Amino acid sequence: MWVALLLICVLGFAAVGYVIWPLSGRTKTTLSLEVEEHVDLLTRKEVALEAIRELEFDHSVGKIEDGDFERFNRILRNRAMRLIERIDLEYGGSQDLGPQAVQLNELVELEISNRRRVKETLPNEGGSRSPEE
Amino acid sequence: MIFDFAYLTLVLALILCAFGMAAGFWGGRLTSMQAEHNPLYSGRSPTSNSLNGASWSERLTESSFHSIYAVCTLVGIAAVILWYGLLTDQFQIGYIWNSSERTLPTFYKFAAIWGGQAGSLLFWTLLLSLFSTAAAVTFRTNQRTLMPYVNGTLLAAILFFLVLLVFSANPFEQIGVVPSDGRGLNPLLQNYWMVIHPVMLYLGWVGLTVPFAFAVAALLSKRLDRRWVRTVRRWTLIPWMFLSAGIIMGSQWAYMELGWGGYWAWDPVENASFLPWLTATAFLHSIIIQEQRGILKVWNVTLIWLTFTLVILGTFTTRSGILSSVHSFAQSPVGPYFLVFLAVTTIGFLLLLYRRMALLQGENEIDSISSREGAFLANNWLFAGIAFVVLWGTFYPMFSEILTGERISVAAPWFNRVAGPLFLLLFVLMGVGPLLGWRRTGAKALRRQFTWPLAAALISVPLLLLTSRNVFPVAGFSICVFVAATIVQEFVRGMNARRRSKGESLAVALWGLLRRNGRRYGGYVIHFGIVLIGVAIIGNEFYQSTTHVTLTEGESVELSGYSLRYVALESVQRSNHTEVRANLLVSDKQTGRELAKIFPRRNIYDKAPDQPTSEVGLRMTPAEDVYVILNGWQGDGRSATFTVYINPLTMWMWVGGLLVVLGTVVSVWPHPQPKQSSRELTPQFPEGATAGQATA
Repeated sequence: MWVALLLICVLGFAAVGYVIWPLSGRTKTTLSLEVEEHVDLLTRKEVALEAIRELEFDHSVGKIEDGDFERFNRILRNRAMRLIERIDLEYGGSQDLGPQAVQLNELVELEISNRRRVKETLPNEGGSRSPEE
Repeated sequence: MIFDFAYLTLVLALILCAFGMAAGFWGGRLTSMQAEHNPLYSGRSPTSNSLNGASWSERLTESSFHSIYAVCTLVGIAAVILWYGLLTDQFQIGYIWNSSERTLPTFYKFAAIWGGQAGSLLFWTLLLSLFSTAAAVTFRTNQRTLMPYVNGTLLAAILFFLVLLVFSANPFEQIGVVPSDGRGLNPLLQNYWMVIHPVMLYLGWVGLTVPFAFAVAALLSKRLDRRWVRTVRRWTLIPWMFLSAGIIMGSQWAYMELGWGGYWAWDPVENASFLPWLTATAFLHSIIIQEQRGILKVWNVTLIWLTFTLVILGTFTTRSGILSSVHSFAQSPVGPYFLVFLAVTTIGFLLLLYRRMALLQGENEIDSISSREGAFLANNWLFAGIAFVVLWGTFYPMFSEILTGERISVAAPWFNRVAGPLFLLLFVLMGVGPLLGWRRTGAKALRRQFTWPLAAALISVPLLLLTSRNVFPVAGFSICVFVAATIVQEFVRGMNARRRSKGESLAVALWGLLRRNGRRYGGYVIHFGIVLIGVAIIGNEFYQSTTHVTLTEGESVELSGYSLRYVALESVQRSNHTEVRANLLVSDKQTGRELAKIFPRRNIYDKAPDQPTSEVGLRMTPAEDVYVILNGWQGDGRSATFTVYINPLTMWMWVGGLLVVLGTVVSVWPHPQPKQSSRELTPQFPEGATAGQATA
C-alpha cells in the first residue's frame, strides 16, 4: 500500500504540475488566435459558394428548372459577392485571386472555379491547420 | 499493490477532471466576455488582462487542454492495469473474479473488461477520454471561442463516469481472499460478435458526446451560426457509423446466439441503442438544412441534446435493472447516479436553450414544400415520431407499474404495428428527398425526376403480387424498388453530367462523383444499404416459415422445399465448456440433392451448467437462410428436438450493414477542397499586435 501511495504521489505531482503549469503563463501555446468574425464570414462565404455549386449540379441533372435556377443563382451569387466584398474591406485584399482591379462577380467566378480544382482543409472542417500556415 | 495504485490514478483523474472542467468553463467565459467587448479580440489584444504576455482566458483554456490529456493518460493507466489483471487471473479483484476464469480463452479475457458493470464503465471512460483528446488535438488551433466550453463539457461527462468508478463501481475492489479460480464470463457473452459489438456501440455512444459538447459550447458562447454544425458533421457521422455497425453486429449476435429465430426483438436494451441512432440520424439530416438555409437552429441543438440524453438513458436502462432484458446488467447501485446526471443535464440544457432562444431565430424560411429541405423536415418529424413510439413502448412497463401497480410489457408485434407504417413513410421520403433540389422543384422537374423510379416501382407490383397477396409486403418491397431506382438514377444522371461536362469515361465519372461529392453520394450508398436492410426485414417479417419437431436419428423433416435429416448428436470438450451439437443434413426436397451439413449446438459451460447457450445451425444464401435451433435431446441423443426456420433474404441485412459503413466512410473521407487565398487565412491579430507563437 505504501509503495502504491509513493507511486501515486510521484504521478500526482507530475500530473498536477502538467495541468496547472499553463496558469503560470510560461508555457508555449498554439491556442487559436483567429478573429471569430472573420472566420464566420469565411464560413458563410464557403457555404454560399458550396450552395452555388450544388445548385449548378442540381440544375445540370434536371432537378431545378431554368427559371428557378436563374433566380436562385442570382440570389446566391449576390450573397457570395457581398460576403467577398465584406471580407475584402474588413480583412484585406484579394492579392492571390488576381489583379486588385478585378470585379466582384469575376471574383466569385474565380472562387467557384478554384473550388473545382484544388486541395486543402477548410478552417472549420476539423483540419488542424495552425494559424501560421 | 498495483490495483491500489490503479484505483488512486482514478481518484487523481477525478480531481484533475474537476479542475479542468472548471478551468474550461471559466476560460470560455473570459474569452466570450473579451470577445463581446472587442469583436476583433484575438486573445492577444493589448487590453486583455495579461501577465507574462498571456491572458487568463488563454491560461485557463490551455490548462483545460492539459487536463484532458492528463485525464486520458491516467484513465489509460487504470485500464491497462485492469487488462493486466484479467490476463494474469488476479482473482483477488472482485471484478476479475466475477467476470473471468483460468480456462477462459485469452480473447474473451481481454473482452471481459466490458463484460461486467465496473469494467465496462472504466472502458466507457477510457473511450470518452480518448474521443475528448482527439477533439482537443483536432480543434486546438481553430475554435478559439468554442474549445474552452467544449473541453469543459467533455470533462464534465468524464467526471460523471469517474465519480461512478470511484464511489460506486470500483473495478479494483478487492474481495479479501485470493480464490483459486474465477466465476467465469457470462456464457452469453462468449461469442465473437459479443466481443466486437459492445465496442462498436460504445464508440458510437461515447463519440456522440463530442457533437453534444459543441452544441453546449455554441449555446454558452453565443456562436450559434452555421460554423458549429459544419464542424460537428464528421464528428457525428463517425460515431453514427460505429453505432450503426454496433446495432447490426448486435443483431447478428442475437441471430446466431440467442435462438430467437430472428435478429431483432424490440428488447429494451436493443431499443436503448436504437433510440440515439434515430435522433442522431435525424440530426445528421437536419444540420444540412441549417448549413444550407440557416434554419432549424433550435431543433438541431435540441436533437443533439436528445441524442446525448438517450445515450445516458440507455446506459441507465442497461445498468439500473429497471427494465428486464437479456442484455442488462444485474440491479446495481449506479442507477441513482445516472438519474441525477440526467436531471442535471436536462435542466441545465433547457435553461440554457431558453436563455439563448432569441439568438436561435432562423435566417430564412422554407421556400417550397417540394424542395429537399421540405423532405428533410418531414423526415425529421418521422424520425422524432418513431423515436417517441420506441421510447414509449420501451418504458411502458415502468409507466404502467407506476400508474396501475401492474407491470405490462408491450411486445414486438406492438412495435411492428405502430412503428412499421412510420418506417414505410420514412422509406418513401428516402426515395423522394434525393429527387428534389434545394429551395424549389417545379412541376416539370418533378415529372422528369419521378418518372423512372415510379415506373420501376409500379412494374414491380404485379411481380410481387405473385409472391404474396398481403398488401404490406407488396407495398414495402415496391417502396424499396422505388428508393433503389432513385439511387441508381441519381448515380446515372450524376455520371452523365460529368461525362457531358468533362468527357470522362463511366468509371472515372463514378470515381469523380464519389471523390468530389462524397457527402452526397456516400449518403446514397448508405441509403442503398438501408434499402437492403428493409428488404431483409420485410422478407423475414412476412415470408418466414417455421416448424417445431422432434426427430430420431435418420428421420427427416420437410419445410419450404428443404429436407433436413437428423444424422447424430456429437459432443466435443472445449477449454471451458462442452459443445453438444446435432449433425443435420440439408437437401433439396424435390431433387434430393445434398446442399449442406449444419450443426446447431448447445454449449454447456463448466461454471454455469444451468445456463446452456444456443448456437444455431445455419445455411445462408442470398435467397434464404435455413436456420435450426437445437432445443434439447433425449437420453444419449438418439432423438432431439429442433426448431427450424426458413428466413428469406436475411443475408441482405448484413450486406446492407456493410454498405452503411462503406457509405459513411465515403461521406466522411476528406474530398478535395478549394485552395485558399492568403486573405482567407485567418488574420491572427488585429493590426498593430504582434504575430508569432504565443506564450500562455
